[in-house]
Amino acid sequence: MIKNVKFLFYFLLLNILCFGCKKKEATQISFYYWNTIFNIDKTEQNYLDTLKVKEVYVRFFDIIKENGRIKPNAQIDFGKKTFSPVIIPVVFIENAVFKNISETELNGLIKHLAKEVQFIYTKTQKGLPKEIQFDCDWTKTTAKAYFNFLEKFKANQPNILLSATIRLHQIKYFEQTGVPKIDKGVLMYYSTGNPLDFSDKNAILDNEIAKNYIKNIGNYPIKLDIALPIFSWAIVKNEFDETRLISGVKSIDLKDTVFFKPLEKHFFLVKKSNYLNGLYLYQGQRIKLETIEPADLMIAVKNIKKYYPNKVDKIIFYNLDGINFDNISTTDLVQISNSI
Amino acid sequence: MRKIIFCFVIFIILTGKLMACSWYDPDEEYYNLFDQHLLADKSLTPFLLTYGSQYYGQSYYGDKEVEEIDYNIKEWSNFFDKKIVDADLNYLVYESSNSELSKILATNSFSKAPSELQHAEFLIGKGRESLEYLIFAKKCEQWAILGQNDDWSYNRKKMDKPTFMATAKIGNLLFDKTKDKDLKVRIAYQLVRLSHYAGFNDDAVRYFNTYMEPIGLKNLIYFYALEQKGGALFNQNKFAEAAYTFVKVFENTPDRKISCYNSFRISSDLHFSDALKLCKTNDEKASLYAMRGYQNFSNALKEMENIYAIAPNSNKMELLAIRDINKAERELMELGVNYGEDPKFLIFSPPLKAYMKKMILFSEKVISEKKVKRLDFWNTYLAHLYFLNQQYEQSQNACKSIVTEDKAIKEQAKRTEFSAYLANLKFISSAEESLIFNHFMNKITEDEQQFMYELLGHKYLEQKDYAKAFLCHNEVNSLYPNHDLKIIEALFDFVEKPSKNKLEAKLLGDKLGDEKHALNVLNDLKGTYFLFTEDFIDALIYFRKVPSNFKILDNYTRYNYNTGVDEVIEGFDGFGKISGRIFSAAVRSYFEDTEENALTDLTYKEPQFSFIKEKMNKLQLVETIIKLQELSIQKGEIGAKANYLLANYFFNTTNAGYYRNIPYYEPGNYNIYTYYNISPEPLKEIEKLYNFNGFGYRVTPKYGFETPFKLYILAEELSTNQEFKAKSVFMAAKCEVELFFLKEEDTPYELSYWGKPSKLYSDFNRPMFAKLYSNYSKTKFITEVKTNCSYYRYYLAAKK
Repeated sequence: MIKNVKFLFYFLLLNILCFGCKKKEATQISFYYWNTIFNIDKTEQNYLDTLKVKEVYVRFFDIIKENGRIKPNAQIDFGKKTFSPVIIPVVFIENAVFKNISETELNGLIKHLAKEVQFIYTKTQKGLPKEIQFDCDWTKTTAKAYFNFLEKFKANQPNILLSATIRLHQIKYFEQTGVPKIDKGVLMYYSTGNPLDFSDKNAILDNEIAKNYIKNIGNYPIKLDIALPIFSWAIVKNEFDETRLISGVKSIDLKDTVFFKPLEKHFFLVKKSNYLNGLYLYQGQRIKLETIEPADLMIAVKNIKKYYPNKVDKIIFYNLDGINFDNISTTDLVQISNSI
Repeated sequence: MRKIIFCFVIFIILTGKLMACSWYDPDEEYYNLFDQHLLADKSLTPFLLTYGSQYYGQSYYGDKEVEEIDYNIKEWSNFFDKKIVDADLNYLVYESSNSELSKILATNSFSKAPSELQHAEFLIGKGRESLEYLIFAKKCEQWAILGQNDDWSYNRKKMDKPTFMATAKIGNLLFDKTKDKDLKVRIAYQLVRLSHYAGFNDDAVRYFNTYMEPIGLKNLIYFYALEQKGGALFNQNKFAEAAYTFVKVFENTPDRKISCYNSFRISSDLHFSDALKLCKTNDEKASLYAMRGYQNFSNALKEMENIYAIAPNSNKMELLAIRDINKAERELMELGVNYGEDPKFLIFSPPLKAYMKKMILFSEKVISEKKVKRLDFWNTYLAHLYFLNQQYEQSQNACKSIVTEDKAIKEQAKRTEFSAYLANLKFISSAEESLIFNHFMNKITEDEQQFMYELLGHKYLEQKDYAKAFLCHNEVNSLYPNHDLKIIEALFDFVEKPSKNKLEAKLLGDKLGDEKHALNVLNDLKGTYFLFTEDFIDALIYFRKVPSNFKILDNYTRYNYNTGVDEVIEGFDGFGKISGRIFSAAVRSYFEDTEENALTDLTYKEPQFSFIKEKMNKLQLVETIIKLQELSIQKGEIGAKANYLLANYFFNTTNAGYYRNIPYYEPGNYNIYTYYNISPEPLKEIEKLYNFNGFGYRVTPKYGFETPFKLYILAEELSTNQEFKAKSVFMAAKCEVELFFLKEEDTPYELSYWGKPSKLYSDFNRPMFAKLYSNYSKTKFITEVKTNCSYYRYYLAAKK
């Protein structure tokens, strides 16, 4: 009898230990897509399949202000392509759009924008989008108008989940910068500096700088997904101290010693004039390369985990482009998302 | 998110320095001494260097330097042998309707047509054909302007293939039927454009090759069509061919250069070398290099070298050269040289210095080889390079040796020569001043004038000629925010100096007026200096030298919130009209309020203070202060009140006081622009400045709350009247809160709008409030405090 009770006890204990803890739901992986011509190549598709990506955040168009007129710009061209992950439309809006915007302009913008999103969406997807995301680096003077826009848009489209990007400074100083009334935010955990400073700091993501912006993230009143960078770029400086940004430059692009000479860490000299990603570089100009390594992102998620008490449902990597995958494998991305 | 692409787009297109804000024009932020309009080929004017707009002449402020000519109308005018006026051609081409034109054709009569169309030319031969053409062109136009007005793609009409085929068919038939070659060219142009804009790029290229080229007429419309073909080639990913095509259109049209440059997009070495291979002449190759060189970020010198090697007389050489030297000027001769820690003027960074050397070597080579036509231009250019490179004697010699009949080049040479002479001066004595004065009297540009003052101001400062250094850039009102004694005394010496030379007389006349007036101004300034360093005896000495009716400022207007009207206020006039209320106080006062409402305490009107006038000038003010100081050493109520009134004066003339305008020579106390320039950092010593440009922005903040604080406490101690004591302590509390904020480095979060100011309202930080509470809670005065002072109410709430 005692033997049976003992057996039962240990059996129950074993079950509790094995099954008592609730299995943690994995953080979803997603991507931003920011090209104007929609074209997913084999590498990109492979990443989507391997990582079981369900949703891709696709920039549909920008809203800009030109000669006093608010208008869309650079609408995406889907062509005749079909696409299986769900597309979530993203619209970037210049901060200037909301400066002194009138009620009429705001209402007109909401009306046109909704129709434009729907028009483009139906080129590749059926029905209505389940989520729409806005990307705007609002300031103190435009906060009221932008937040008003978001509220009115939501009222206009109540069944669509409304999300918006939140930048690091809008977390740290949220009491001053305000918090939009949205269903969900995406923290852009990058752009920690000005690349044109041409300093030795990595303007894409400097973890020491970034972590200082999220110490109070626990107080942020809305749920956040996290956006992390996987892109790289180069900054070129000429004799007049002018600088230019060249997106998509990787270290392999600067390996040819006929054209480039490595100087100190991340800095190169143009040895022979040549085109680099569309910009003509002249002999003698200096280049600074900024990249993101998987290790940088591991530190980033470690810091986020330290300060953000809530579960992160989704990491959205910026951005889905084959050139960004030379440096970071699917294994790396899984490891990063599992670490948050 | 967008920041990445935003950066990429903006910074790829523009320089890192471009700041296109509506209030800031980067083209006004440097001294432009080398005239960009020396450019021989004026059609390239839009490509002169500008950071204020995308192309030169397109300023945000609407004043365009480039004349707008409708070349299409000019072509029509030539077509009709200049027999039809432009206004009528304008109507014909842009405003007439198809029905109007069709009616003329159908009836062979223009009698019922608008007056602009009543020309016999339209009824016969090519005139009739032109109407048929225009009917077709207007049909095509609706498709060509698609997308220009419909920003939103969901709204946009698109030309489908059947519509395109049907429209093109009309054009094909018309082309076959039309005899006139000029009109055939136009029809072909419409077909190419229609195809391109409808997205049928193959058809666009085909129409150009099979319809346009065989006509054999390469007029302006031919090149317009070629531009359309370029667009179609680009859409076909034939980048080299497209680039070459745009270059040809650029070279052969006066009005499509900007659009061709915008369309020119080469992004690889392969495409560039393929485009070069397509060029049939060295001039075409030179144009290709030039297109690459126009980009603001490009190394123009390298492209000039490429061009010079194959086409030394290309018109692009001068353009690139002028852009480069203009860039160098923007680096070396920026306005606001005193801003920043380490002012640099005419000083290169090492990379730019190395680049400048290369520019010089190249220019010397161009001159010595004599392959270029305009040697006078290149000699002037080189002379200016020498000047910028601090080779001043070489620059002057080079200028002297320029031989030219060109008026603009002569003027440039004079400007460069004098600039080099001035920059090279080690010391400015009367002899040099004479030459400088003569140069000022020449017809020189505003930029040159200001550049001369920039250098003169610096050299005078270096040789410790503070008065002249000051007067190079300032009138006396630059001393109002900051009564610098060194400069005031230097100005006294300068004004009183007998036998001034012409330049000195000019400086005096331009900036200070006549000697008598200048001395009055300076005496007032020196007295004011002593007034605010509290040396009242010294202040008296100087104020006594100022005429009693002396004034500097006019009346000002102030918006009355009660009446909703702008009122003219007779305020402080710089010397006089200082109200006796400067000795008054109030629990709460607003700057926008009238004096009577803002300062209600009437202690200053008590009989023992009857010497305080209703309105005083500075002399009378100082005399009153001295009298009060004499009374303040007495015991009892008189001493107490004298201290109280003195404290009020000191408080009221701090930055927090109602009469804060008086130290800064402002007529009223709000909208004081001086305040925008108060720097939290200590001001640099004047000897460390480059010159005194911007001296008026050096503002000495007027705090000094310690003095009134001490006097209020003394007033409280000397009095036995509880109400008066409460009043004094409350005023001490006002000083106390100002001192508190001066101590805090940044406004702490707790004191911000969202915070709870518990730190501010503690007994520790507000001992005067604590004293009021513990000693004077039963006074009538405290009721007024509780009603009107929210800080005191917060303090009380924090105690609960």
